[in-house]
Amino acid sequence: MKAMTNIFRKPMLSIALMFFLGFSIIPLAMNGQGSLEDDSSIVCHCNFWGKCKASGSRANCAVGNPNVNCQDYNGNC
Amino acid sequence: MNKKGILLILTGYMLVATSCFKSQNNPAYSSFFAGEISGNKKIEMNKINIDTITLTNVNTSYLGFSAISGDSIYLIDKLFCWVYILDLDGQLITRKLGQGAGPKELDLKFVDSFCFLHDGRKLFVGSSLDLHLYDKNWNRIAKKVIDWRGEYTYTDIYQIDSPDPAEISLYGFEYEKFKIINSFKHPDVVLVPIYSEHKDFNAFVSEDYYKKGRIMASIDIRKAKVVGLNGRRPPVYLENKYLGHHSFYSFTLTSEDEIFITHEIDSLIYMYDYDFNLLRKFGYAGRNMNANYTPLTTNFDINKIRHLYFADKPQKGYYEELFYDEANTLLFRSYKKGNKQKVDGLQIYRENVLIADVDVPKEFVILGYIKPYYFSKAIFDEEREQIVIYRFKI
Repeated sequence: MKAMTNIFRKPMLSIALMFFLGFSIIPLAMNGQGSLEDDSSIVCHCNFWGKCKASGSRANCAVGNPNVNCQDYNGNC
Repeated sequence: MNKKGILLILTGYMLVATSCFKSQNNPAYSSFFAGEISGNKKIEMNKINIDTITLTNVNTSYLGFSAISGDSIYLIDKLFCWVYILDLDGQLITRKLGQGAGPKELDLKFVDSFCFLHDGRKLFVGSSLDLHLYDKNWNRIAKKVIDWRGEYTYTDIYQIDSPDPAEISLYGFEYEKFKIINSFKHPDVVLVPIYSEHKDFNAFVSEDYYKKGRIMASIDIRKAKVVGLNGRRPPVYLENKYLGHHSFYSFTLTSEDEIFITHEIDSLIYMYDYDFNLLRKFGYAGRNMNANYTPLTTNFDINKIRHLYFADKPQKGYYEELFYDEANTLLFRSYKKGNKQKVDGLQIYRENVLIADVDVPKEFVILGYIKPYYFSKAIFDEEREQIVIYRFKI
């Protein structure tokens, strides 16, 4: 906690922190379809034809690729 | 009448009412297809003269759709989310939307399908059951996620053995043939093809999938909710177990919300009312179609299935698209002949009568009508960096 408080006493560190928040985490959280309401239950998987869709059934994504969970960091297709 | 009598009558009434309700929700399979084949063949034309419009000035990803609404042709770029509006000579009028989060932009990574509603609103659909609705001036009205839950959630249904074919969560959008049509009588309802990939209930493992599986969902876009499931796949699919890589269909509506359906391997066209009561069936097989289909005869094998879909299917002939010109009561059906043929086919029916079955260029698929021309869908050719649209008069 003391270390956290110290950050705000150092202007350069504060500015760096604001840049980090402003250009990375906040835009990621607000990005694209992630901003849609009530999307928490929508999980995408590879479908029979190797495409990442909400109708996917956990088929392998491609020949030799068992990555069945094709959604991105926000759970979007 | 004593109490026992009243109880008996009430019990009988409840039984009859329950069975009626059940049969309404689960009509007999035969009711979707049984009946006389109507219509005949009276060929009026053996050839159509086709113009080619080549567009080279459109900045595009070459992944796109085309549409006709009013007197304009629309090109929708799936990746960049631009909508180009063209006149009937293919001249660019303007460009709308584009990818972005602004009120006149489309907040999508990939457009899976779209629908121009009859009242001028525009609907776009992404891969996560997401709806993006715009008014007639291209301003965003809403972004919503469809509630596709039934008795189970969309995820939980995959844990259930032998699921109920009437269960909503069993199905999802048929992304490979993702045509959305707005009901004329229900302005907020769109109809979409659906399918299932459930391990016990899919097109490669289950006879019941063909007999009991629903093929079309009604979605209320204002509520963002599935409000109905209906339709079945015709008996011809059970003659070859299993042709899941051909278990697709196309459909179109009349202004009375009657539905025409053509299934890929069935020469018949089925016409239903909005509640899927069969009104009539008619149609003739296309010419020179390679109908020697290859079924999956082994257990479920995703690699074999993909080989059948991506390598085997293009060699075969199948029915692909319908367009109904209501003013002239003409129904057009595009079909593929198979990749060994140098042309594809187009049938034209007036009422139930086949009046033309003509050759058309490869990849020609009927799209719509702007007086005096009928147009094909746009063909996006990335290699040549051009977009081709065909048109003809009859």
